[in-house]
Amino acid sequence: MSSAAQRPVLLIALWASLAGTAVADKAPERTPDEWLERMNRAFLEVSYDGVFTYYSGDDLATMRVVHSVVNGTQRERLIHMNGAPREIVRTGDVVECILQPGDEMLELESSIPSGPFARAFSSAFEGVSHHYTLSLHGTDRVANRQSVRLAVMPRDVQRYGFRLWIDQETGLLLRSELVDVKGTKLEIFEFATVKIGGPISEQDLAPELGAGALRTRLSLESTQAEAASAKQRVNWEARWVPDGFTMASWDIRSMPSSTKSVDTLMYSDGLAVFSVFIEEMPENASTSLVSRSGATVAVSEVVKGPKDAHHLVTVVGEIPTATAQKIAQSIRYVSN
Amino acid sequence: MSDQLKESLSAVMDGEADDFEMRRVLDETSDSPALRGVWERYHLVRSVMRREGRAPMNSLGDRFWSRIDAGEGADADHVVESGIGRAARRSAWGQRLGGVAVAAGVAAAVVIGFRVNETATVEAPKVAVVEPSAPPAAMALFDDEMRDRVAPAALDVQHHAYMVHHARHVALNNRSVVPFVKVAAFESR
Repeated sequence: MSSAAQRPVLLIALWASLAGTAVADKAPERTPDEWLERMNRAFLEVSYDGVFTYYSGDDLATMRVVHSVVNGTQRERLIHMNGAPREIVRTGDVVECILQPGDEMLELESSIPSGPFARAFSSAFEGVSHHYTLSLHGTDRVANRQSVRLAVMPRDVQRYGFRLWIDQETGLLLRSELVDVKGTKLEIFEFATVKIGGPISEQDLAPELGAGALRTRLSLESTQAEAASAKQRVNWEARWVPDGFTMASWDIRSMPSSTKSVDTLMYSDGLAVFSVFIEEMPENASTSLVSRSGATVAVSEVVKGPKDAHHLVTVVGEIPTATAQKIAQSIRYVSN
Repeated sequence: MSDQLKESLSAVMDGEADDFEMRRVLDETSDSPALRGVWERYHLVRSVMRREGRAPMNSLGDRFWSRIDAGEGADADHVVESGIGRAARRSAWGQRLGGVAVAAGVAAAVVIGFRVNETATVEAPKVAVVEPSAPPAAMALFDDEMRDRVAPAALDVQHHAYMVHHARHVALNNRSVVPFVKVAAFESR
């Protein structure tokens, strides 16, 4: 075929693709960074009511989520659609887990230190592009809505990547995949159906589990407690963490599952988070152990603490096993 | 178990067995628990070497994997050597085997082998399907029934508690519902 005969076909194809783009992208052009920022804001600003599935490891969970923002106050309700009836209701910084009597749940401490964590998280978020490459990959339909696809790929092998489907109209995250370096999906979150915007009724935010239900309250500690814990020093440090991870919070407390005190350190690079727990060596502990649940890995290693006493270091986070292990092995005691 | 059988087994794993050899291995595998154990270990090591598929929680496989990932080559070689004998001595065994890791644990249900030549193009997979003599009893169990059967070790419980703590901490500080999904998922396990 001659090139002259090809040209009109090419021109038509070019015109068609240009026309298609013009129709599909009525929304203003945004950079990948702007989409990520918009998604982050939508979590806080958009009201929605939907049903989603969450796949992690070999578990599939289906839940309904109702989220409303009124005068800047967040209210959320998360309802298990399968198995024992369970709900998580959040009003501002207070979170309540509501279950049926007899339904077992892990007993944990009821207050979580806010520390400088939230601030560190948001400031680290600005540095995300130093450690991840952001790129847009066209549009797709999720939960019957038009979404843009954003890939957030790590620049090294020390962390996982994300594929995100972001609602074109509102910025709400409609689907996400957490992927390892080979592209294997470790976790998938996806809305099946979602109603975005509009007023959310009081009834939709009220827990259905009524009289007799067990309620466990979780709350962020007050700023006073935060100031007090800031005076306390944690005598442990990680000699190695992947580039960009900074310590976001620390804590010394006893865990209900253990009578001894446990030192906790938390690190974030703005997207990924890992926790380090250090406790005196339990008598029955094996020297090193790896557990995995979906994208979350827990790695234990034994290190020497004060007076050469053995301590068990456990690193937990959504990071590759090798990264967690390297961090755990780098934990050292520092005397003041 | 005879060395000859082990040789045959690794030949099957390498996709180098003829039909007769494969038939024999599959028959023997369904009869012999010991051979099945070796078979499972071969698969485990293969998926570890290919760094694909996640080994069962807390299993030896997870520890192999993380050691190999951590670059402790000598250590990993030792493990592989003792685990699979002849197959490990072949250089680039892991690289030559393309294809899909077969889930360890189900006796000889499906064998898939890819052959990859020097230019790395992939031929059509060779698939042999064999009905196991009887399905494992565990197939009839639901997740919660499985959990009832296996009493978790103390440190497993501790790991789970730390995972929940981590998930809650992230969720509370993150001010969005998505991390709570993880909390909710952990709580229900």
